[in-house]
Amino acid sequence: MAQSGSNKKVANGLVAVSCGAVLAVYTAGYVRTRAAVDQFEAQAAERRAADPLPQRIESPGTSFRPRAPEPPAAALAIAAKALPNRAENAAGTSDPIASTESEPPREPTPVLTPSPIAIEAPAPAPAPMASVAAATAVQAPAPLPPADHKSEASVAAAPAAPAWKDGTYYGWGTSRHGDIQAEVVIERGRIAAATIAQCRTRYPCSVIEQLPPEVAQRQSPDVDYVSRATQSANAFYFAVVDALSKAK
Amino acid sequence: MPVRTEVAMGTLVTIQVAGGGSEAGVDGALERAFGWFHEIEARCTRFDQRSELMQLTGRAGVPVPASAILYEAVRFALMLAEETGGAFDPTVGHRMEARGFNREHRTGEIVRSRIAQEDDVSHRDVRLDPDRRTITLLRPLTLDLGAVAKGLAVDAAARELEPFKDFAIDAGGDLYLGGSNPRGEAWCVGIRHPRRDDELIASLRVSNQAVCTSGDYERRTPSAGQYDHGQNDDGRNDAGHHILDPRTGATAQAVASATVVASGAMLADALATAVFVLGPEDGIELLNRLGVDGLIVTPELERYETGGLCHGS
Repeated sequence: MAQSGSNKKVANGLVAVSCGAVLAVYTAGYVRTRAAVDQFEAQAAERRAADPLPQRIESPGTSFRPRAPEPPAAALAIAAKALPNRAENAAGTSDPIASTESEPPREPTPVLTPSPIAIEAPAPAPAPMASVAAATAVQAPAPLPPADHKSEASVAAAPAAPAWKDGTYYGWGTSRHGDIQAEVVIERGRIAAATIAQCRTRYPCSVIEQLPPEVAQRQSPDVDYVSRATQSANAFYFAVVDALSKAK
Repeated sequence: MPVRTEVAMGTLVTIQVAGGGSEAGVDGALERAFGWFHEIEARCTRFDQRSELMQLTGRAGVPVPASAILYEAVRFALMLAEETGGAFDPTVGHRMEARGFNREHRTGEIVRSRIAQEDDVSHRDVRLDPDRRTITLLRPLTLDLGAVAKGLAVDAAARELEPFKDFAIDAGGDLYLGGSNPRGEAWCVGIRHPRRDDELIASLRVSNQAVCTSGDYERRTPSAGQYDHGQNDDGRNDAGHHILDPRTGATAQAVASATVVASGAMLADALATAVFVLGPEDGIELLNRLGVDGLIVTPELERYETGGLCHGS
C-alpha cells in the first residue's frame, strides 16, 4: 500500500474539499436565508416605528430597532433598503414621516415608488449590504453619496452622483428564489442602460421587467419593490449594485 | 419522533429525527432540510433545460458565473476525476442521455441537451476560476452531477439537523446517520445483497457518518433486462445499469455493489461511484489512500473491504 507523497496530498485535499464544499454551500444558503428573514423583520419594524427613522438614517451605527438591542449588520442594510416601502406610504404628501405615522401598518402595494429619502438609504451602510448579497463578493458601496434625508430634491436629478467609468459591467444578485445577473452600460459617466443578462430565479424575470429601465432613469440601483416578486426585485437590485461596484 | 418523506432528486427522501433535542424547532429544521434537496436539485439537475447546470451546457467557451452550490459541486467532481484518473468523470452527462437516462422523474418528459457533444470530452474540458467563481466549458458538453448533488443535499440537510443530534436521512440509498438511534445505540445500516433482494450482505454500525452504496441492481436502462440475463442484441454482456466507465463509455462490470462510509454523503456517494468503476482492487486502494472505509462485492459475490468497517447487527 505504498503511495507516493503527492498522491497523498491530493487525496487528503479531496476529503478537505468535500467538507469545505458543504460548508461553503451551507453558509451561502444560510446568509441568504438570514437576509430574507432580517428583511422581513426590518420591514415590519420600520412600519411599526416611524418616529426613530430619521435618526436611523443619520446614524446607521446605532440601533434602529428598540426591541432588538443588537441588530445584525445585514439587517441594518436591509432596513435601509426597505425604506422605499415606507416612503411609498407617504408619496404625494409633503411630510412623509407624519403621513406614515398616521397610517396603520399595511401590506406593500404592488409597485412602490421611492421618495427622496429612499434613494439615499443604501448609502449609509454599504458594506453590510454587500454581505447580504450572499456569496458573490460585492465590495463597493451603493454609488450615491449620503444626501440630506430631508432634501426635497428629485431623485432622478442626482447630479452629485460620482462618475462611473464608461463600459459594460456585469454583476450578480442573489435571492432565496435564485440569482439574477445584471448588465449595466455606463456612458459618459452615467448609467445609459441596465438589463437583466441572466435570469436564474425560480420564477420568470418577466415579473420584474419594469425594473431595469428604472436604473437609468434614477441613475441608481434603487429600483421599486414589486409585490409578489420582492425576492427577484432584490436580486436585481443587488446585481446592479454589484455591477456598479465594478464601474468605480 | 418526527418522520417526514418527500420526493426529491428522483427518489424518496426520508428524514427521521430521533430525539435528543427538544421538539421545538423540529418542523422548521425539517422544512429547511428538505429545502436543500429542492434547491440543489433545481440547480444541478440534468432534467430541466432551465437549471443552472443545463444553462451552463449551452454556453461553451465562456466563463459562466456559478452559484455556490453548482460551483462547489463541480469543483469537487473535477477533483475526484483527477484523483481517479478519470474513472469518475462528471462529463458523462451526454452519454447518460444517449443511454436513455434522460427522463424527468416527475413529469416523465424526455430531456435532451441541444448540443452535439463529441465522445472524447473529459473533465479536463472544464475550467474553474476560484477568484471569480466561474465555470468554463472548453467544449460543448453536458455535466452530470448525479453522484454528487444528492450527497451534497444530504450533507446540507444534515447540517440543518445537527442541533437535534440524533437523526437519520435516507435519500434513496444515500444515508447520513447523526448521533444514535432511538435505542441509544449507533445506527445499524443494512447493506443489501446485490443478487438476492430480500437479504443483506452486511450490517454496519455508524454514527455521524454517511453510508452510500452503488449497485448494479438499481436504475436500469429502460431496455435492459435483469442482471442475470443482461445480454444486448449485439451479444455483448451489458448490464445496463446507470454507472458508466467514463474512460471507455461502457457500463462498468467489475463490481456488483460498492459501499462507502465517510464523513459526508457527497464524498461517500461519489466515491462509491468511483470505486464501482475502478473495480475491487483499485477501489480498495483508493479508499485506503483517502482514509475512507468501504465494502466492495463483485458479481461473483467476492467481498473486498477496508480495515475500519464496524460490523454489527
